[in-house]
Amino acid sequence: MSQSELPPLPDDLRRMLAELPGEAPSADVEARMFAAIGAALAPTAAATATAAGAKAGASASGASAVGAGVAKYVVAAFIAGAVAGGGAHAVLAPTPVRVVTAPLPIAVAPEPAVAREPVIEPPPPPTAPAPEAPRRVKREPKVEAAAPAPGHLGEERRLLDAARTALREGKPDRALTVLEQHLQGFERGELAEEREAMRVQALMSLQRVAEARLLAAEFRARYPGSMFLPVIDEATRETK
Amino acid sequence: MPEPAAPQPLGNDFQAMYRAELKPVWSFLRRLGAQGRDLEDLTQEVFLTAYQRREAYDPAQPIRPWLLGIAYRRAADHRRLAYHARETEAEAAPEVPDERQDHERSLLAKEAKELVYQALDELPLEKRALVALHDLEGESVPAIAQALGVPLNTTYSRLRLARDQFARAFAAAQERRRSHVSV
Repeated sequence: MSQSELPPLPDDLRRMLAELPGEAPSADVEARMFAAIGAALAPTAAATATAAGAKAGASASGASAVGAGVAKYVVAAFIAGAVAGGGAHAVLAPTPVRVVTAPLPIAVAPEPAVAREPVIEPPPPPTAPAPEAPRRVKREPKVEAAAPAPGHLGEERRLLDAARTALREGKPDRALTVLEQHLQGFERGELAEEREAMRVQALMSLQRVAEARLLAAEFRARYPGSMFLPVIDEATRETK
Repeated sequence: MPEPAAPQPLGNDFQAMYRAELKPVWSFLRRLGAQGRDLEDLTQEVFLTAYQRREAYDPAQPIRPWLLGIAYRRAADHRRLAYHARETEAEAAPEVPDERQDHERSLLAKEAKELVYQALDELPLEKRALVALHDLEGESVPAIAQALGVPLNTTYSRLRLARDQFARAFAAAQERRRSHVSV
């Protein structure tokens, strides 16, 4: 028998394989995954596009400027498809939040090296009034929004402290909303690294595992020497 | 002379690719042993990874083996796969639709599913992937070799061993079933 020949399987096994029903996700699950992937790709593509445009191909993610341009198109189409897809719209809004029965490794980010003043004021109101729809990340890439004006550090710090407080209080959905607010206003702000670390934590605590892992991978590529890497590793460690 | 059309170019048609390849990816991961939320998470991760690595995709090649190769590697990284389910009520739910669908399937299909999955469960992950790709998903051996990054002759050798073990496990599952029915 030559290397490329395979002996046939026994007849009864072949008959059973012929009868084996196909596996397919239910319509609800398919729509939920479709929406989740679209939501996960939205910030990714937007960030990639912005970073690639600003850095002229020197992005740590390695995405080319052309690829980034495509990414924006793709994601727009993907999300539009998710909304238009059968049953997907309903899934996009009140996505069932998984029940967390065991505490996730939400190691609250260590105190950053940057000196920060304790901020006691209440967290700002979320930009979106519907906290049950955190997966819908609607954010236009702000090509010119790169460098925040001087003096923004206090506002950045205030937002991140509010997000951290929410995480500590077991309100990751609120934390994510505030972090998205920081992302909108200070996409490449001075505290962007810390924000991204907390986004990973918040997503993990919401059990949006795929999104968290994707964001964590981007974080590691973008900030290879980050002091938050242990936090990222801890947050995304698989539970046994 | 124009280049032949790419089978399924990644890039500006990611959405169409997703729609076309979702079921094969899902089916393959299910046959690797993923269930419930793990199956859902892994399926999402495959497409997210494919998107991230879209520049590594060779459009001259069919996309499905490339995706299934990603699926295999994600499953191999996924230590929870088939070994335990996360203990939440919400995660137990996704198995229910499968069971409902089963009611409409023929008894033979149900028996086939039970026996084949019992046999698959006896295989280590790599052998399981080889059998699933070749005998359940219908991929060619060269495509499997490329998807898994294994030399062609090695793939043949491993596939032969995997199918042998699969056949033995299937026979054992049949025997268990017969003895259970006759008792």
